[in-house]
Amino acid sequence: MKLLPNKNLLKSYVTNKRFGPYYFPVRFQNKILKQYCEEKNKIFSLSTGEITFGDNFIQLRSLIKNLKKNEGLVFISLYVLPKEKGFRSKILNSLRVKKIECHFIFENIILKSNNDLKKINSFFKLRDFTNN
Amino acid sequence: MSMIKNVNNIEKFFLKNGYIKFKIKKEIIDFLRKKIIFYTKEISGLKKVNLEKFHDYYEIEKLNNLRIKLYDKINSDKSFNKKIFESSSEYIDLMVGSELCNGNLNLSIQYPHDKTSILSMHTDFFSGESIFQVNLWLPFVNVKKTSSMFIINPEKSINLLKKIKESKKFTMSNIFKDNKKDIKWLNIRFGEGMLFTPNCLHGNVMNIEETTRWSINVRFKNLYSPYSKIKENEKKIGSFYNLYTPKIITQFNLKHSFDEIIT
Repeated sequence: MKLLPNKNLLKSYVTNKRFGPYYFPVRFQNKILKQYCEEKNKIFSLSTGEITFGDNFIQLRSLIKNLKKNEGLVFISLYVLPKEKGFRSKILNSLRVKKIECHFIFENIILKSNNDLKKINSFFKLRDFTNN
Repeated sequence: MSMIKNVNNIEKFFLKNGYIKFKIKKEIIDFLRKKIIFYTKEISGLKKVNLEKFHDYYEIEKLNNLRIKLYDKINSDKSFNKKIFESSSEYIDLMVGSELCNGNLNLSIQYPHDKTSILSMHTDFFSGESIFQVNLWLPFVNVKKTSSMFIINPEKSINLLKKIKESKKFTMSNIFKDNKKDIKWLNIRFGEGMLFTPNCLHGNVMNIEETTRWSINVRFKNLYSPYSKIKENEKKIGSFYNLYTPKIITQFNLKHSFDEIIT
């Protein structure tokens, strides 16, 4: 049986630690991610969880590297991305270069274009300005 | 007192390799397998069930739904849970003691050539689980090579985990590919069980053997051994681990609130 890449498939990524001001146990992150996919008529793919130690985001980098053409990603929040700006930008840029559609549920942002990338950068700047 | 012979050998082997294999009493493993077949028939409506060749006649599209229903059945079946524990209770006692908490029973059904049930190389503490737990792994068919699971011994696991922790260059698939020589496939016959430390890197790949793998895994840890140090992580008692065999003094203190006096 050969499974073909599916443009409606969103691979999900979760974290086992605090992210920004939030903490959600993984099984609840999965429930929200799954429900979101159903509402958006996308196929949910069970999550990859980031490792709890270190800060090199190896699971996220591996997930991005192994994505097939037309597969997208879904995250519960922008805050699951690296906190450090340079590293975060590197990851976001790699997503843009590979033209990977990324959904961030809490902030209601879908990264599809460079304009969306600007929106994301503004989000983090504004949060910094307002200390949130 | 433990009835197990060769405790020293078991200890030596486990410390070096991160796992042990052992025989399970026939009446226990037969009971468990019969129950799995019984529930599978009940859910699927099939009259005959051959676990090894299940992929030949049950569509893969229906498999996850069956697995979820079976998961509910076995987890709510007290006699099934009790037999799972009895299958290896003396070994579990040797590993982590007798006052236990445990996880739910997880059921794997891995069809040949199914890419969707791959559990890539990982350790259970990636997600915040305690490093003081052991996992019981029980197959209901003979398993070998890719129909089984692999483990990497403690020393090699530590070396790879350092790389995983520190490198911003490697990905998990790079590391797995570059270190394939270090993986140990666990060939286990029906009627045998295995206890392993999930601190060691382990996982599976696509099953390219000719049989379907049916196996159960469950975590056991001492109730009072350390849990994740990440304060907000839910891999703790009551939200991930279930109280399983509390001793009388734990029950006593749950009943009588002496703890409130000393705080």
